[in-house]
Amino acid sequence: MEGPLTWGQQDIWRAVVAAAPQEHYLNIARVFPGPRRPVTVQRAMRALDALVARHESLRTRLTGPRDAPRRLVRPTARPHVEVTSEPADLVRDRLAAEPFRYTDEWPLRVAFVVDGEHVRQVVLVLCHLAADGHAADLVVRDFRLLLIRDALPPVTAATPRELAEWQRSEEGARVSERAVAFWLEEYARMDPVPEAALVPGSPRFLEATMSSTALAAAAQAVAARHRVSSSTVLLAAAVRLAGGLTGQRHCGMRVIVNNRFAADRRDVVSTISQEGLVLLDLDVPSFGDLVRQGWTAAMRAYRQAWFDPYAMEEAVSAAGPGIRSFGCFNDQRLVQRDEPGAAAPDERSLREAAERTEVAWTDAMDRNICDFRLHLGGEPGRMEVSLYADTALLGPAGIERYLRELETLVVDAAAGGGT
Amino acid sequence: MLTDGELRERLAGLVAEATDGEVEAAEVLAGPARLADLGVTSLGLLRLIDAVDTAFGVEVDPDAFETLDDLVRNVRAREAG
Repeated sequence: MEGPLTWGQQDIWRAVVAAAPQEHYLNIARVFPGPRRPVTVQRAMRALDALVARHESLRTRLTGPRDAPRRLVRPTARPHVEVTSEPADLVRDRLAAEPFRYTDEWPLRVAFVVDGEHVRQVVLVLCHLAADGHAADLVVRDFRLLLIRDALPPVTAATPRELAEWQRSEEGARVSERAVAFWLEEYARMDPVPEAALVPGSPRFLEATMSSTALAAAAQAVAARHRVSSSTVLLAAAVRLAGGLTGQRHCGMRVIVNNRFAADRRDVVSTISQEGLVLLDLDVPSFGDLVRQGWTAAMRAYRQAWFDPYAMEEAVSAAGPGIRSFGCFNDQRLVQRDEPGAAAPDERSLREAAERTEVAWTDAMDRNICDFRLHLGGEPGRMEVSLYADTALLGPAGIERYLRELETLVVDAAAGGGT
Repeated sequence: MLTDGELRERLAGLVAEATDGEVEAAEVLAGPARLADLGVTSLGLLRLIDAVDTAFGVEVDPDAFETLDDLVRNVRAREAG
């Protein structure tokens, strides 16, 4: 059965086209242990068949022209499966290293890491057209259950096909138009972003990753003080530093929004995350004021991140020279809760922790859709912040400086108290 | 139209659903506490706003309410408008 791409898929497809043939960075990889009571490869294959039968998006390929592809859903599919005794991390990296062949490969690669007869670990690599990060976690959840059960309760969440239908309905159009109108109002307040002025390096795009326990502790402390999430604190800091680079007073940054706030979309196995727009007025007395402003702006932005990407592109591209959002902020910890009641760290321990912060170069690319992308991840107590930037915009030293300043800004705010 | 009491109960139920039961309807109905103080996170608020929109056709501004009573007033005012 053939149909149009969903809005989320259209967004991903634009990113694919912009980065091809180096779009493998969009692949989503997961590794999880096999069941405690070990299962055979044969049993695991049955579970995989049931998983693919359960989720339409895992049986979907693209068809049609590259500039306007459509979804082609099949009743059955058998994705690439390997049985191996290699270490799972190596298998994951190998399976994730190549872009998917969108028209003739199923959007899922699987490896069963075995020890003799039994499956010890399962490696999944998903095409971003089939799943976003949350959907990947849902696929893992179902796969784990199917390894130990023969059947699961029926899926109640909307299918990608139903989403696409709704998006083309009058109500869908209204929702998209409302989001476009919100973005245009924000664009009207934005100051222009200067043209990128540096001589780009080769490869043109570089990514550095900062690993910091200080930032994790400081962001929590500032968040607790202002009764917001640590994500909001980091977003406010990111926009403030972006404004420092561009000279803007009103600076807008895009944020990845998972779009799963409505009950019927929470468990959708598809790509439904899209971008929201957070515009901040940086002319405020203190960082604390910016954090509070950031909370309100983010809450509004999260509600307006569900739209037809081509309609949005057309609308905002007419906003005027230099009037554009600066970069993209992706906090993959967004669905996690901050630890309640964690004791606020003292200044000395924060400064000492910051001494141990490390920055490493983690990726390089020749092409990308985005000229500045911050990615927040890590584990509780240790944040990993990656900054991926166009070297025409920010050279290697500037990339590292931005990351270090992000940490310093939040650590200073945590240490300063009351601001 | 629901009475104020029925509306309060309905909205408190939506708070419980939006937080996956981590905040119970009875807690919300018990007093004038701010929803954030009861443990409603930003994610919970976004789900709540969406649920209110679906149930009542009313879009509440996240800045416009802190307590259940604020939310009741907001829904009433927007229904009337």
